[in-house]
Amino acid sequence: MSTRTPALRHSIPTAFIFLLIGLFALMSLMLTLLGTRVYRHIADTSAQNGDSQIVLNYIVNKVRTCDAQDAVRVETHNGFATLCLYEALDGDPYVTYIYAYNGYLWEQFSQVPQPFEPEKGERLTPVLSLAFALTPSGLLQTTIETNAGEAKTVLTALRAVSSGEAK
Amino acid sequence: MKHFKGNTLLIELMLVLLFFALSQAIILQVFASAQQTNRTVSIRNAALMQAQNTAEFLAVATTDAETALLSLGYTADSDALFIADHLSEGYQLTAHISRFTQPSGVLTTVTITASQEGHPLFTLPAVRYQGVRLP
Amino acid sequence: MNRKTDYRVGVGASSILMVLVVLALAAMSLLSLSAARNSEALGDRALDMTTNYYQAVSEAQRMLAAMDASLADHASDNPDAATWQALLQAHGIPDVTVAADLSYSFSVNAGAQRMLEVGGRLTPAQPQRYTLTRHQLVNTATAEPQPLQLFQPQPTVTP
Repeated sequence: MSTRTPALRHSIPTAFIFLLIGLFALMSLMLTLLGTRVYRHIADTSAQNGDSQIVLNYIVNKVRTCDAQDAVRVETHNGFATLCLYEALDGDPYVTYIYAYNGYLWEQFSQVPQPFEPEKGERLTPVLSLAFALTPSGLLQTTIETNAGEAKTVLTALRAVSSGEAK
Repeated sequence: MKHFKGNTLLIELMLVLLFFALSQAIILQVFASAQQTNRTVSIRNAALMQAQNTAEFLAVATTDAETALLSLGYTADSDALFIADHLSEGYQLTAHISRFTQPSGVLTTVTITASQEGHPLFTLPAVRYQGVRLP
Repeated sequence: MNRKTDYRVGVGASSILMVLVVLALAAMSLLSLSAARNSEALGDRALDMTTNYYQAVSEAQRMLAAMDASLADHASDNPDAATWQALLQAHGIPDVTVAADLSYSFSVNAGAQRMLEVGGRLTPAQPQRYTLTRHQLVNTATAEPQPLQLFQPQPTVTP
């Protein structure tokens, strides 16, 4: 004859049941948090890489399409450091300004004599800052700082500047 | 007969945990694969940008290719092989220089190879012709 | 009999919860993998375009080297534009076009519907036997006209 009370007889299996429920809840919570963290990391990394890649690739490709003698210059207009890409269409001179303004990358295409007005361009993509440097040998250095706070630099050679040098 | 209803719940919970563990073994592999792919892509993008910068610098450098590579942070492994370690970013760049000399000038080819933990990611050619003055 | 089985968790609730959690985590894992694969595809395309560009630049430099060799060999002959064109073709660079003012140009395929257009002027009598004034990447994709039919006039009915 058992001397255990009915309550005590069921308390150990009940505790084991709740232990298993607790274990299941804990595992679910941990794995959900892990999955959320991994997905957020992947999405953030893709977004950050994409933002800086887009800006730098855009500038590099723009320069490569305009690489001609005296066609690529770094100038300052109204206090803005701008990359100026000059070209002639039907005999008329045109210029494409690329600059950073109000936290964005802007592009403005206009005829040469017209004054530069930064707000009249086309807003492209967010960028904190943009800096250009052009060496006499024809190496354009473009440095951007994205909203994520990281700075990246890309070099572009102006091959048409260094025209057929001979030693 | 006395029945303990907890037995049914107990068996169900154990089965649930078993299936949960088996499914998470697969799901965690998917997460790991996504994480690994993302890491490889980030490293390759960073290596591509550095390799491009090297090629563009060499295209208009006023010094010879060896001096230009040294100024970019490469170290000479041999006469024609230069290495730039970016181990903190997960990749390594090697630059191999070869030259073809003709009476009118020199064609310098620098082959830039990026690798991640010994596995090659891509190869980029940087070729530059420099003519010489003739008497 | 005294059945004090008072279970707050019903049979089946944990199974349903398990199914829901597994579905949610499976969806999240597939989304992560999809995002990573998309990023990889973009990176692959960028790598292909960059590699093709540098291969085109390398080919252009080789053509300039061959052109310079020909210029050095025949500078003293002082040939005209047509003769230069024939000489360059004989030296294995048939794609170079030489105009009457001794300006030259050629194109190299840079992949992804882009051409690298190189041009300048032949100056064989100068220490720099040629000048490079153009090294531009040009998009050759043709835009197909896609007219939009916004209004179709209906025939008028005269009373």
